[in-house]
Amino acid sequence: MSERTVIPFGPQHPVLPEPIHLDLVMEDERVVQAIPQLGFIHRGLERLVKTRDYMHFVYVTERICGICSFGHSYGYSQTIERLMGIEVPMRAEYLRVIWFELSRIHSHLLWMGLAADSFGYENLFYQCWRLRERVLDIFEKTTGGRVILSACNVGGVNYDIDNSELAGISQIIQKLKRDAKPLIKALVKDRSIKDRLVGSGYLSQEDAVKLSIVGPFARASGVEEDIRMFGVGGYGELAEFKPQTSTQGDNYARVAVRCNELLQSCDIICEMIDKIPDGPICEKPKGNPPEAQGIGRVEQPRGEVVYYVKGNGTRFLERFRIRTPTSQNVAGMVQLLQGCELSEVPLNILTIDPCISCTER
Amino acid sequence: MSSFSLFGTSLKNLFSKPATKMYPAKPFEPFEATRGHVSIDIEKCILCGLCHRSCPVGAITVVREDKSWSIDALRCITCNDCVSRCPVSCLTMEVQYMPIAIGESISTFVKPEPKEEPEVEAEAGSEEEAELEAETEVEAEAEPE
Repeated sequence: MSERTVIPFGPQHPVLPEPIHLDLVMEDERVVQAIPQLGFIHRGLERLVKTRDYMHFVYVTERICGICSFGHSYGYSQTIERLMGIEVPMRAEYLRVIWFELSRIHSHLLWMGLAADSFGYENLFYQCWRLRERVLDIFEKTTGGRVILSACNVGGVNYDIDNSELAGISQIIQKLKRDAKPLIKALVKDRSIKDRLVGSGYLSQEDAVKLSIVGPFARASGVEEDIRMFGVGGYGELAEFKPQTSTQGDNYARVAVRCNELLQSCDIICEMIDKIPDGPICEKPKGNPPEAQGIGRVEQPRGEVVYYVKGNGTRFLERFRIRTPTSQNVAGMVQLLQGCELSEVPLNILTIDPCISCTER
Repeated sequence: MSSFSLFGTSLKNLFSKPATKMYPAKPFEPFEATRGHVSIDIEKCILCGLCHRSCPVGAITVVREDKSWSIDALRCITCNDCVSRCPVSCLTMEVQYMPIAIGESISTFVKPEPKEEPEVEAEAGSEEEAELEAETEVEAEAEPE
C-alpha cells in the first residue's frame, strides 16, 4: 500500500461557485476518501422567522439562494397556504408555474455553462450564458427584478402578465428552444465532451435510493422521481408530465437529463401560456397561521425541497425548516469521489450541481 | 459522435450583431417594470404610515409630528410592498437604480404646509388616521415580547 496524503479542496476553488471544503485522502492519484465540511455561509435565515411577519418572511426565503430564488418563495407560500387553507386563484397558479419553469431554464443553462467551463469548453460556456440572459430579461420585464423577483406571495402572485405579453414570452421561449438545440447537441454528442464524461462518476440506482438522492442526480441513475408529477398547484393542469430519466448513472447521463429537462420546461411554459385562464391573481390571506404544522414539497432545479412550518396563532411563525436537495446529494457526491482520479474531482462535484447557499441558509 | 459541433454556431456569431450592449456609448435602457428605487410625491402624501408598517426591512420611517417621510436607500430591498399599498398613490417605483451612497443613505422629505382649503383636507386626513390608529393598536397587541 502506498502512502496516504490529504489534499484540501476548497472552499475557494475555480470550479466551485460556492464554498464547500473537502479533505481528499489520496493514495497516489486516486481518492480513497472524501470528507466534506460545510458551514462557511450559514446566515441563520430560518431563525428570522420568529422576528418577521409570515407575509414578510417570503422576502427572506427568496434570499436563501440566488438561483432558486423564485422556487423558495413558491415553496414557502404553498406551505403556508396549505397550513391556512387558502385557495389560490387559478391564474396565479399558472403564473407561478411559468416563472418557476423559467427559473429552471435559467438554472440549467447556468449549470450547463459552468459544466462546459469546467471541462474547458469556453465557447459553449459563453453560448449557454448568453441564452440565459433572455430568461433574465423576461424576469425583469414581467416582475422588475432579474434575480430576486418578489413575485410570489402567500395567497397568489404580486404581478400579472397580460395576455399579449404572455404570447410574446411564448415566442421568446420557442426561439430559445430552437437556439438551445445546437448547444445541447454539442453537450451530448461532441466527441471531446463524451470522452471526458462517459463512464466517470458512476452512481448506481441502488445507491441513489439508499442515499436518498434527489433531483436530476437521482433521475440520471434511473430513479423516476419528480415532485412535479404529483400535480400539485398548477402542475395538475398539465396534459402530461413524465420525469426525464436515464439509466447510465454517470456524468454524461446527468448532463443529458438536464438538457432534456430544459427542453421539457420550454414545452411546459408554452402549454401553460396556451391554457392560462383569466381571473384574479391574489387571494388576500385573512388572520394568522393557526397552531398547527405544515409540510410542502417543491421540485427545484436541483431536486426536491421540503418545507416545514409550525404556526402558533400569532403572525409570527414558531418554526421554519427547509431540507434542500444538496444536503441530500452531498452524500452521493462523497460516494462518487471515492475511487476517482484527482483530475475527475472537479467534474464529479459539479455534475451534482451543488447549491451550498441553500444547504446552509 | 461528432467533432466541431459548435462550428455552425460560431460561424453565425461571427456575422451577427454583438450580444452585449455597447455601454456606455449607448445609454442603458431599463425595462418599464424595473424596480430601481422608491420615490415620493410628498405633497400628495397623507402621512398615513401604511408604508412604514408594511416595509419588511423597516427602511421607511414616517413621523407625523414632523410631517416627514424618510427612506434608507441602503436598507430598501425594492420589494414594491409600499408602492402597492399606498392609498393615495404618492409612492412610485422608478426604473433607475440609486447612485452609490456616500456617507448618509437616508433621504428625508418634509410635507409642506397646505395653502388652499386646509379644512377639507384635514377632515379627510383625520378620518383615515383614526382608522389606521385602530389598526395599529390591533397589530401592537399581536407583537411578541
